[in-house]
Amino acid sequence: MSEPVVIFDHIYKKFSRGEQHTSLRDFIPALFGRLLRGTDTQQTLTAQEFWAVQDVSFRLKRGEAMGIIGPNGSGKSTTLKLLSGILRPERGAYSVKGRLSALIEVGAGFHPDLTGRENVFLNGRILGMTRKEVRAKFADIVEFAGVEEFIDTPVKRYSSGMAVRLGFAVAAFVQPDVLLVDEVLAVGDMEFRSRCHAHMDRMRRRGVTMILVSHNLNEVRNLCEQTLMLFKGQSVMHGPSQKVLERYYQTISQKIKVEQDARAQRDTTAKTVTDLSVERVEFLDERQQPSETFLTGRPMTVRIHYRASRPVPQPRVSVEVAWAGDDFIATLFDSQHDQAELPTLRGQGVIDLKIHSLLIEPNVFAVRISVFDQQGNTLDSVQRLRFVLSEERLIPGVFALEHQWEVISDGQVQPAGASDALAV
Amino acid sequence: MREMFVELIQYRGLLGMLAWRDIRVRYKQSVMGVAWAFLMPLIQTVVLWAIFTYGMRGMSENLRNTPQQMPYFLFVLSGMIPWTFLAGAINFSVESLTRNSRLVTKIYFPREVFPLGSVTASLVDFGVGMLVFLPVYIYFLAVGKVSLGSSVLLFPLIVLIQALFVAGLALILSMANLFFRDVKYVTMFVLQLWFFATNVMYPIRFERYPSLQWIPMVNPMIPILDAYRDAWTGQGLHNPVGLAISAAVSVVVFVLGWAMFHKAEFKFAEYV
Repeated sequence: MSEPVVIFDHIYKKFSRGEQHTSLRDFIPALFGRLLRGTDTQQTLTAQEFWAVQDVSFRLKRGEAMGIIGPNGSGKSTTLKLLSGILRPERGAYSVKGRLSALIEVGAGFHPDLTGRENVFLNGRILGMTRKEVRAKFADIVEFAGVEEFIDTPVKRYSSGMAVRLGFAVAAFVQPDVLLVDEVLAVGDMEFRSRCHAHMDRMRRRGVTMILVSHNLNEVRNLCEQTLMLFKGQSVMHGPSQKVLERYYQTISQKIKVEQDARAQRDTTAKTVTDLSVERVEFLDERQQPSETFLTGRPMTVRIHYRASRPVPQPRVSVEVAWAGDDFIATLFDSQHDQAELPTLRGQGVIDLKIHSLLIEPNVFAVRISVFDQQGNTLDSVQRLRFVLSEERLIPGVFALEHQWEVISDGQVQPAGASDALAV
Repeated sequence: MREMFVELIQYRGLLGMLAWRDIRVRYKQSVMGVAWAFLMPLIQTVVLWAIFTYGMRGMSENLRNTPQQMPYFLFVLSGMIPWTFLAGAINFSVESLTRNSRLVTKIYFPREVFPLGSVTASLVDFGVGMLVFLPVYIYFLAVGKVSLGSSVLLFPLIVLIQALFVAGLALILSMANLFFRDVKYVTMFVLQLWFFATNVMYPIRFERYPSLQWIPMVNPMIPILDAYRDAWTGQGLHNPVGLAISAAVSVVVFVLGWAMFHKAEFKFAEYV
């Protein structure tokens, strides 16, 4: 089976910015013109237009999985929509062999007034299953979603998590030859997410070809052996996931550096006057060198440069680290919570937060730093500082815990020899 | 062209499913449920019949003079049910694409299923309406006010002509409304005007107003409603040319509507 199942050959797709047709008067002649001329094959761009996807090509064989990564607006979802036939390219050819199913915003076809059961049948049909297939898989779908008790309740009374789970469950049981997945796994709780991953893994082993769009880089690495990196609609790199992700981390950290420098300049000008201001924040690596890229398991120092116009007694400092994509807080460092009594801040100086070991999965993180006075008033707050956590070695999972191995034989403790780099 | 049919046949199950959903949703959380499908045309007919029989007594003498010589109540009912099919299908399908915009932008299948699903749902309502009509018709048959003839066999053909016409309009209007939401509002008042320009509650006769004689010529619904009544009164078609023109218009509207819809379909996700 070396025949490619998915072919995407030099595809171009343009979009236009802003309102598309401001009046019927412009539109009707345009529409009729287009109908007479046939498909719109104009390959030039007007001032309003831009290439959402430009000269992107790839081929996938049976059972292969490819991740698509890139910043927002780089054409990832457009690529999936082109593949599924929702959008039509201006130029280029594509083909998909066999049944294609898309996990793009699951539950899109749910009607709130219908019961779960009715929606399963409806959505199954929308996704291309026959009535017989839905009936055969109905029990599995309901069990997978875990909504047995509520299957005859209208979906509008479901919690949003339940609706999403049911939507995913229907889509998951379609049994396609080619599966497109767009950011759907960002929803649902951890347990459900891991169940989805396991399910996708099984599908792959059954020979389903998969294309996954995600901002969760770990997901891409775990599920796909190859990755396509898009930037502004163009293919930047396509190859083994590990290589492409490394390159992606690099690209992002360069971008962050540029942004951060620009912001640092801007921020000095516009600020309300308080007793203390944060002048600058640096992320320092183990050699105390400023950096934007860090390695998992290695130390990092967050250095906050402050200037106090009046002494600030008993200050409180907090450092929030959030996943850059979804603003979900990964970890929070708070001097008050740590019961660290910081000395009075005077004049100009630095506050260092020393993190011994960054034991989180590689990703891009956004940091927000706030300094409060004794009464808890915010003196200054700096947001959207970013750093990239890349990996020195793969963390098998979401986080790593400090650990060591030990063997006790005949009452004698025998520590393991060469200790793991992460096992401090 | 062939691919259009193949695709639609492939997805006919979905079409039925969407129609089923539309019907199901319409009567959810209502105490009377499906009974509304029976009651609506009946109530409307009773209202119109009462207005024209008692409220406007002087006028109604002239009105009762229908070309088919049928009881006025039956006249209104036999016009109201097909008219409700048209109006319901159009009102419902005009928003069928925009209402389902999440599906239109996320999942691929022939988009025709949305307007055609709405038409199918309205066709089911039409069927229910016929269940209301039949007992009334049988009563009038029994009391000898109308007679049954072989022209009743034309009924399926007339339904087909009307359904093609309605489906063509549904395709065009749902597509137009996707690009311009104005279409929905324009449709609403055009339908109202159209109702008065159609022979639902009175036969359209403009002998006294020559300047308005073009109305029956450009309204394909007039020969269609006449044909329905001809079918029930067993007199044979009294305006076969009109019906033939309506049939031709229906086919043209349907084919043109579908072709346009199919051509523009891949733009929907971008514009909706």
